[in-house]
Amino acid sequence: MKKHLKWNTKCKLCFLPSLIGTAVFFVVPYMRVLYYSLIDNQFRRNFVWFDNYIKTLTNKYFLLSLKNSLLLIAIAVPILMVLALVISLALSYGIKWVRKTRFAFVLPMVIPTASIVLIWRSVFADSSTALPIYLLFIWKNIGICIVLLTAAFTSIEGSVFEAARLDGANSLILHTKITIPMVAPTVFFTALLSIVNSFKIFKESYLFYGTNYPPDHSYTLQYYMNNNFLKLDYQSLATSAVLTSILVFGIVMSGIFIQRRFDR
Amino acid sequence: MKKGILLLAAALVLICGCERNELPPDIAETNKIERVFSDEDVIAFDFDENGKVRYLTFGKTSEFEEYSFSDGEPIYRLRLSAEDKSEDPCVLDEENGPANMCADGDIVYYPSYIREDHAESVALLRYSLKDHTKEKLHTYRNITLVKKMILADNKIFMLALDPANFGVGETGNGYYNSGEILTCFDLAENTESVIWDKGAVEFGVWESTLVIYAHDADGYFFVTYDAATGDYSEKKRDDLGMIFSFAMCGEDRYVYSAVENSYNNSCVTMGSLTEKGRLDIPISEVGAGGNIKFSNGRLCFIDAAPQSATFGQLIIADISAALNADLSKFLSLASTEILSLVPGSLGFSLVAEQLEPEEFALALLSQDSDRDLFLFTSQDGFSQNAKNKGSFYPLNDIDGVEEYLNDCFPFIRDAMTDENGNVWALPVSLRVNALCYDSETSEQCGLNFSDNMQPDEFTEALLKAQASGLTCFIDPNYYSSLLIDGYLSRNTSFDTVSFRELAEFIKTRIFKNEAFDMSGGSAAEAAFKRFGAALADGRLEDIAFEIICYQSDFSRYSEFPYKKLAPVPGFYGNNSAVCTFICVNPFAENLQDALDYISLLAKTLHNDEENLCVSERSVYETSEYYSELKSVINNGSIVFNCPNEVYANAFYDYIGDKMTLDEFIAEADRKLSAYLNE
Amino acid sequence: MRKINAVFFAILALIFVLPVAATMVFSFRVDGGFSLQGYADLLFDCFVFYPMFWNSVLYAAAITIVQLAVIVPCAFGFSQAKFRGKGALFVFYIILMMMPLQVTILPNYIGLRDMGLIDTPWGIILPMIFSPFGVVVMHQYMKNIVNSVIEATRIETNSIFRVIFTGVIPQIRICIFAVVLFVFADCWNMVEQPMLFLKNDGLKTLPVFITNAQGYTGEVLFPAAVIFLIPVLILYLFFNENLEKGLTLGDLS
Repeated sequence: MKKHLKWNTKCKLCFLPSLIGTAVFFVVPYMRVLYYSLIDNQFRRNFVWFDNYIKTLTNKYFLLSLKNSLLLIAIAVPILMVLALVISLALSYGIKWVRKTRFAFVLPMVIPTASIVLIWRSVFADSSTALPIYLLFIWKNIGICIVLLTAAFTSIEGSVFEAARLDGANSLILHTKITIPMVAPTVFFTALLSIVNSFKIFKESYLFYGTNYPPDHSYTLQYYMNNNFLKLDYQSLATSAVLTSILVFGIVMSGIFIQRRFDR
Repeated sequence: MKKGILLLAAALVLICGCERNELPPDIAETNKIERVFSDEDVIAFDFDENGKVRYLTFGKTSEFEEYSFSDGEPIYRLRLSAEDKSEDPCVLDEENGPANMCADGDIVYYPSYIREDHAESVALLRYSLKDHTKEKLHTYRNITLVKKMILADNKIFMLALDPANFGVGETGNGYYNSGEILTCFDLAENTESVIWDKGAVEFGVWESTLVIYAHDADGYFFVTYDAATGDYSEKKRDDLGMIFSFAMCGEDRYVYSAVENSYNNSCVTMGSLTEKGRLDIPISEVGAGGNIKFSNGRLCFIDAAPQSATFGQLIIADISAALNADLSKFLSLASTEILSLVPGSLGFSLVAEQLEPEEFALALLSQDSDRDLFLFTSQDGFSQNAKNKGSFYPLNDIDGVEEYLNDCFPFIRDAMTDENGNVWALPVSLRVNALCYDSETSEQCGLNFSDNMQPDEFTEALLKAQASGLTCFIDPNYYSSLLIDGYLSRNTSFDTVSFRELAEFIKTRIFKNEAFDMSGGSAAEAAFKRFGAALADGRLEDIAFEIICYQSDFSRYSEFPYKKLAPVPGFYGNNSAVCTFICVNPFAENLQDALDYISLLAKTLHNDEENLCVSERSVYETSEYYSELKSVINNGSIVFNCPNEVYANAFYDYIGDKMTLDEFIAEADRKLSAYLNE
Repeated sequence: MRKINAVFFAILALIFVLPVAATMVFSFRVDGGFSLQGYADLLFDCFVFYPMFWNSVLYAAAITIVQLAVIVPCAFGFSQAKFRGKGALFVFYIILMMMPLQVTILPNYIGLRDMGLIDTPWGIILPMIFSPFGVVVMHQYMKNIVNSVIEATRIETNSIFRVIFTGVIPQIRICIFAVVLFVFADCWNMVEQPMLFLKNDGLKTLPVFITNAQGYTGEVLFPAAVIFLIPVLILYLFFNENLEKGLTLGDLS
């Protein structure tokens, strides 16, 4: 008699291809990085445990890069989110031709880095602040945020609004009790995505400044990691990578925590 | 019983240990090249079907005049002679001396440049050695210069210049279409055809197959053509760069010379159509000559090395030992430098590849086992770190290394030893900066070059020299980089009083100084033009002074009686030196072969008369010039300093007045501090 | 009031479009005048452009399609399977997604080299197929599938593939379009991996070409950038209609 697998088991098996692939191409490399952060150098391979971490955490350039990366997240991401929300609202509820302009906001997403940097450099010749990079980040990522947010807004069925209006709710209650809860998950997800993308802005920044050592205000974690890679100091690279992942873990956990509280 | 086994084991170990102290026999063999010389100047040659060489030369004895006039037209009297000079030579009367010929028993074919119908063209002529008769076989209308000519399958194949083809097609990889095409003249049917006209670079023949090396949009490749059937094979990609000469020496094997792959132009390289390995054969006389031919284990060519005592003579070199070398096994070398700085393969099969810094770092960090050897210099940004991380196989116990290092200058020895006393690299070559000046001319003009000359005195001297019409040139960028290097060898920050002084000196006394002003009509520009002309003509004796750093420059200047050497005037007293070294990958696939190579390399470099790393060269005792050189190098220091990138941009902004001194120092110091402390 | 908002909005949109428009304008500008020379240089003289362009298309398409086959079941499993640590597993995926490239590039290189995949297209395609990004996004959308439909389909068949195909996919069709768009755009922009994992120029991708565009004859940077825009734009326009119909994202937890 053929033994049928239980439904739950089958669902669990669905994970298999993804898990194997992720394990091979992402988990194993991460474990390797973790291992490298615990040894003294690539070639002698003696365990020094947390010495490297102490060295990195007390390195003033690591701290500078950490500060800059966090600043980027703390400042640019909220601005991006607010801007994206405003535009998405306008696009979702605005007049028709305004909706057509969504196209304009998506374009930046697909421009290649090298060409946009040339234009950016001629516009922002002054490099005394990190403003050009922040603007570039916002400009580039607004598209994906808008796509996600407008999709969320427009998916709220009109009927829900109708029903609420019939119940006598006014505009404010409408928005707080209906729109926000339904859109909140998307907002959180978009914020998370933006944080991920804030790490990816390195390439643009590198081409913009044209050097491995940009001004102090733009010296982010990736510069630190890249320079150590070129100097063959893989240990600093590995420890900063692990520390970054711990930071990321913290951000994600707090995001989830906030969302849970919000759902209540 | 136990004792017996122990003894046996000990004996085996001893035997195995001993075996490796000598090179494998085939490698020692391939380095021995026996040569035969023609003892007279040769202009064209070919192997005949018996493997003997027949060649064309100018008559030297009174029997034959070098050229004579008949009816007012100059004619070259050329003698056709055989390698062993056993036959009576025949005389060929020609208006120009043909640079190519093909020999077929009693017949000699050669091209002649003629004017027919008001156009320059090439005629193919046939000369019979038996009846001393000449016959014109064919006129080529479309070619004007013959580069190479080979007879195969009763057809004459020629690599010749077609002016209409010049510059046509794709460029890249250093290739520019100089217009050569490969044509074929069928002797039996008296017909001409074009075999290859799309970017042909060189060709060779093995039996009745032509192997053509050419270039197209995707780069260089080989293609074979069967002369009997007329079939072409598929294109096979291989990048030898722009080669000067080529000959097939086996069904798959070929020999070539190229500027890119030859260390000091000291060898020709053997490669294979089917294997990846490359073998350098120590034949230095091929130089930039064009024609090499092979037959029966012997390579024949005309000596084209400029300084050679046998320049212009025919050389036949025996390379039969190299033909047996196994090209499927090879040592792989990764280099950050151009490949002509890679030392020769010394009988090993060596394939060198130049990598970008990121690729290099990746290869090192990922412990790629494909690369056996690494070549880089003290100027590469990661050298400092590579040195101290124990990244490479320690070379202390390799035969010949200790002796070589002991005879090197102390600062080189120190640089090659890491903090644990391990020798992590073998120094291959050294670039040391020195000022080479002509003492006679300088005295006449009142320039007082000395060991203690200060930079401001030096710039004054430069002005004076230019005003006096001397031939000299100092590159302001290079000189200022030397001054900054000198500073960096003693300091780790730019924010000091001495650097401020240095920066101001560079700005005012170098870049704003008349002496370095190259604008039209200035004295400096005139001096520079004279300098360029002197270099181009090879008139080194006319150059009043210049800064030199390469081994070859030091050798060339040593021949002149009045040239003297002094340290480059700087503020810190020591001369910055850049050392190129080679390291062994501890994870290499062919580790043992790599170590054998290092051993042989150490011994070869130790005995190399041109090697500046060695302090105990016999040549240092021979003249004052050389003892000056020795003291200049002795004062040298290798600085694993920061990459130029750290201060270059800010420096040029400061020089160009886009930044003030304070801003420049702040910016450069910021970057330097980041580089050192990240 | 509305009008002012609209105008303000129009200006904002214009600012966003400006750099893109500038790129397009520059692509026609050679030596200060209007000319198609840049495009001619690119399309006729830059022989490496075509293979690189098609490589980009090929890699991005292959990655996107195969990734769908991997992440749809995975996301489905996340929504349906019940076991302890499911939440933790998902958080794990999110953390992996957020790793900056510099962290993983060297171990990835070592891994690929040990598998012999350096200098082959698979070295680029395989790691990206299993990128956690797709799983996370798809999982968010998957949260909103209507369970009743699943139940209904399960009555008819026990094969999980059928359930997914007939029950789930029709519901999340729009989400699939969105994911395709994101993943394609993400792969389309890859630069570091082709540069480091591929040695043969014939296998590299368009962004690599554009980054090194200064080295080619003629003004090819901007024309190449414009051509670079086109495929993703086409994809976006193609899906735009559908996206308007609405997407819902579920909770993060």
